[in-house]
Amino acid sequence: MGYFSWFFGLMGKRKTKVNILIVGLDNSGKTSIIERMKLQSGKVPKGGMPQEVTPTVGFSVDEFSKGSLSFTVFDMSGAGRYRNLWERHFREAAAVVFVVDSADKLRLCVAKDELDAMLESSELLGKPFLVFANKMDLPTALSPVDVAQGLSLDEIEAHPWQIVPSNALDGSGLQEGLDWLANFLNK
Amino acid sequence: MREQQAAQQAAQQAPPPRQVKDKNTPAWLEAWQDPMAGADAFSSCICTADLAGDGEFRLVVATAMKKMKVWNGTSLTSEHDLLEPPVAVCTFYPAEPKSPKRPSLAIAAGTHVYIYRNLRPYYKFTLPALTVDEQEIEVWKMVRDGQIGPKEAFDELANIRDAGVSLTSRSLDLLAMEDGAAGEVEQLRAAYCAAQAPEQLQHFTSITCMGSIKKNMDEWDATSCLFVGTESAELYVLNANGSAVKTTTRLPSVPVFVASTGLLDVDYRIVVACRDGRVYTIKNDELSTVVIELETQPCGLVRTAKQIHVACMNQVIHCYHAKGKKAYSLYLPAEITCIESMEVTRTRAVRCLLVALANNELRVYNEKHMVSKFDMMEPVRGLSFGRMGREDNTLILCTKGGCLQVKIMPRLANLEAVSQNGPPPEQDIPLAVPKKTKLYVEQTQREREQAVDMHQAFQKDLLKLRLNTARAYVKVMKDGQSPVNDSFEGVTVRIQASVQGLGPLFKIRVHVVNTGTKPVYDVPILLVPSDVDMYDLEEVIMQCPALLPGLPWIDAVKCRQKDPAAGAGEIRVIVATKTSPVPLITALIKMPLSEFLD
Ligand SMILES: Nc1nc2c(ncn2[C@@H]2O[C@H](COP(=O)(O)OP(=O)(O)OP(=O)(O)O)[C@@H](O)[C@H]2O)c(=O)[nH]1
Ligand SMILES: [Mg+2]
Repeated sequence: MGYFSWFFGLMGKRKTKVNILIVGLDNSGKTSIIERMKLQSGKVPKGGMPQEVTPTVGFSVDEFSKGSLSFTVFDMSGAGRYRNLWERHFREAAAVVFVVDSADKLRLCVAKDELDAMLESSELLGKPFLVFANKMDLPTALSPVDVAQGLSLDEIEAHPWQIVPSNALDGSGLQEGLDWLANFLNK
Repeated sequence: MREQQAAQQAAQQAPPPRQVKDKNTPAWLEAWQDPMAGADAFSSCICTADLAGDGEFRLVVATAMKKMKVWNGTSLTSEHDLLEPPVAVCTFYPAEPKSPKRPSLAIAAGTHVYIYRNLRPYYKFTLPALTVDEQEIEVWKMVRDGQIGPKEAFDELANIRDAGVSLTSRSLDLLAMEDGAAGEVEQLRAAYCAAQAPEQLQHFTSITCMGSIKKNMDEWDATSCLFVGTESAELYVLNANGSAVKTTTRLPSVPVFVASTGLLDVDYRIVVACRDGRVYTIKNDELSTVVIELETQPCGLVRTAKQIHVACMNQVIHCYHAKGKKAYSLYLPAEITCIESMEVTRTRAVRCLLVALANNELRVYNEKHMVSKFDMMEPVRGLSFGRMGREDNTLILCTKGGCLQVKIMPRLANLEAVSQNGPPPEQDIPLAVPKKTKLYVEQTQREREQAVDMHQAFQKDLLKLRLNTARAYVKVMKDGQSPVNDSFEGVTVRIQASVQGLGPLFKIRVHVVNTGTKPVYDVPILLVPSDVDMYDLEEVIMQCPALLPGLPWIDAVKCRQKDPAAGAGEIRVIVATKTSPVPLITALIKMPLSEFLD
């Protein structure tokens, strides 16, 4: 309940800006998650909710707020040829959101490879990592425990981390993840 | 100033963020494996394609057990029975424009190409029938009309076959009936002839290899055509629907591996490795005069835009330029089971060659250089590199035991060839040559001027040294200090002494042989302890009455250590004669420690 008292206590104050880097393989649902989060924070997109998300090219920047925090998210493209852009935003990011397609068993090892490379970066040292085990609604999806095991999350020592099952289509799990992040960033 | 330095230092200390992973030998990422997949297939029977048109590339494996299995990601989505064992599988985009575009799947088996759309059988293409030999027709006609019996027909057909004519499968089947009891075979042949003769005689061939080539556009979903090689040494290019033959090329031998580049309607090459150990090129519908001759049979063929790689049975892969000029050869430590090209698109496309060996190794070559090596648990039967699911750099492996493995080449893997040409790095390390001191200069000066004197002085000293050595040797021989004496007055004696017992009571056995030619008489043998107070000897002198040449004389003496705790001493055995001033021979016995302390 400490969180809520903190939340109400800060209602009146000015919002703190935080940069968040959202990465993950292509088709994992990063853009969908951001669109859904924007909707949940009460920000109604101009042309209504977009029906179809298209693969991101390069990256795009979005903003939305939650409580006393105003998030600036860098939605990176996960396509192989754009993945080298990720590291350019390491320095300015306060936290990393790593999205995994839980149904893509084949590429879980690729996700782990990319995650490991990020964890080794000195620019991200100590910054929190939030992992969304996305597409939980699909019947072939792995459980969050399996995803965590596949990514060897338990071996992470230099970063606070959390794994949250999510579904970008109905928005479940997203707030839970954001709360964890907000909790960290407010400390 | 100091801050700047500190910053610089920090920058130097911070590891470069991404290069940590950039190891020299890239390890494949283990994506998935299924030992129970039952995927026993050669490279030609493995392919991936966007069968549903949703961007997820499905894996299709046609197994030796006449099954076609389709995987989406890691889940087996469907399984289809095949009528005949498959030879090759490939996908092609048919002519009609349809969106979203879905490729057709072609499976070559026997004389047919089975074409599937949406994973449902759609069309069966049958190879054109060959013309049947006149004589053969004649023979079967006579059989039908009852003019000749099965026995004569058999002989006639055997003659035709031996003349080098390619026979129909009906005749070949008859000719194969030659085992079994005499009467039985006759019966079998008669029954076969009776059953077969009325039917029309048809000559079919079978498919040995298959591939596809784009028609007129170089896009991944552009219309493409199938081509098949046959057992009758022909290569057919089919039309865009796979329903009819477009062009036929006669080859000098039976094609076993095919590969293609270019566009069918613009400019194309089909490279064919044949059973006669040669590689032919078909260039725009014509057999080119460029022929590559191999020392042994080919066992794999890979064609990239500029190069042809041929794997041979003698553990070598030859690489040729498109025009047939040899570029280089790779010599491998074991038989090659399959090869496959591996093209990884990064900022720059990297073209490599995947080689699976019979010793379970999986190697990746960039040009001549091995950039990665991996050990498998089982020999690889077939492999395919390409897009699977949503990953471009996927390697699919089918092993001998039917295990299916999927590996992914990591994005940051270093596949660049590290050139081994040029001087070795050691050459750049300077030798520790000493400085030219004044002393050194004087010495070299002197050496140059007085070379002859110095050489003579050295030789003189060397001679002296040799003389001294020889003298010392003679002295040892003369005074009888060694266990074998040099003949003194024609007597040569050899002595062997051993100690028996654990102590404090020992027995010393002495064994003396006269190896010379003259007998010696009255030989006293003395036993002298080095410390008189240490041992009590039963006898101090053993008297040997005669030492005859070649006959050993053996005797033993009891010896008691006075104080068993006093350590071990030595006893000298001296063989003397009454005439000689020096002993004939001496031996030194090192006594063992007494083990029993009473
Ligand atoms: N079933 C299901 N589908 C999802 C979910 N989240 C995203 N998708 C679908 O996954 C596809 C890819 O989503 P995107 O948001 O474009 O993925 P991305 O990570 O932004 O991809 P890139 O921009 O190419 O890196 C879309 O078709 C989404 O509708 C989910 O939770 N469940
Ligand atoms: Mg996106």
